[in-house]
Amino acid sequence: MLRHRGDAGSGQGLWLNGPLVNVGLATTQQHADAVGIARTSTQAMLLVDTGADITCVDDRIPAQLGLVPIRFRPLMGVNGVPEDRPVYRMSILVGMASGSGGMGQAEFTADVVGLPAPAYATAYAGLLGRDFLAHVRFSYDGPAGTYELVDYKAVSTVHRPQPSGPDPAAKRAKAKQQKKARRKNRR
Amino acid sequence: MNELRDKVLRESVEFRRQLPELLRTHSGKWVVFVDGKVVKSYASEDRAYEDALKICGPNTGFLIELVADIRPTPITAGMAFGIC
Repeated sequence: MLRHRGDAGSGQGLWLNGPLVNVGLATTQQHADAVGIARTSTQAMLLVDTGADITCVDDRIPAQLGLVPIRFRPLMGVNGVPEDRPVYRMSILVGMASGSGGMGQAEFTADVVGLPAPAYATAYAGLLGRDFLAHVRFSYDGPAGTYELVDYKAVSTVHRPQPSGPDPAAKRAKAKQQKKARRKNRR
Repeated sequence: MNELRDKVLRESVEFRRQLPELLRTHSGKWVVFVDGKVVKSYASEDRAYEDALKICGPNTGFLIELVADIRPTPITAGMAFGIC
């Protein structure tokens, strides 16, 4: 079972800042395969919002990733007037720990709506809405200042970090050198 | 990139114009919609997206839509109260 645990430091911290999740936003693997180039990605802080039907981000992010919308969707802002906003197909990558303590990135494919940049500075670049939460269990502990996303249905694709040992060629060269040194010492 | 975005917006407008008719023929299906026409219909959005990339190519301005009533939704619930 994969889980992402968030900690705002205190109950008040969580109350003031909300449940923020640092995610990777990337082009989908299918898109990268079709284009024939490596996937592009960027990091963004998103606020988990159970009041939002949709997941949305600052429109500059999909533009930065070179994405074209797959449709437009009418959304209502504060003035209540519907406005067509672009929807992008992209991957949301969340750092998650497995039950055995291993770390990995859980990847969810999602439709993400591009919104104009907020008029004032915010700690987040978008909202993780109920369309994303439909895939995971979300728990929020107000007094403790913690929150958790759990992919208990294994909906995501997991990317585990590669072991970062020396590359095989360097390892072989080092062994050869040590063997040579041992032979020299025997003489 | 803006040209493609405008193309998708035009396709979106055309899709909505044809929606009453499409609801009779493709209700509940995901469709790939290009140049004012349904190219193919699918049971899932994933399949429609994958196929659209193969049929039309990436970054060509295809539309992936669910044939269902389209209702404007607030970005987040607080907006209904004008507080966001």
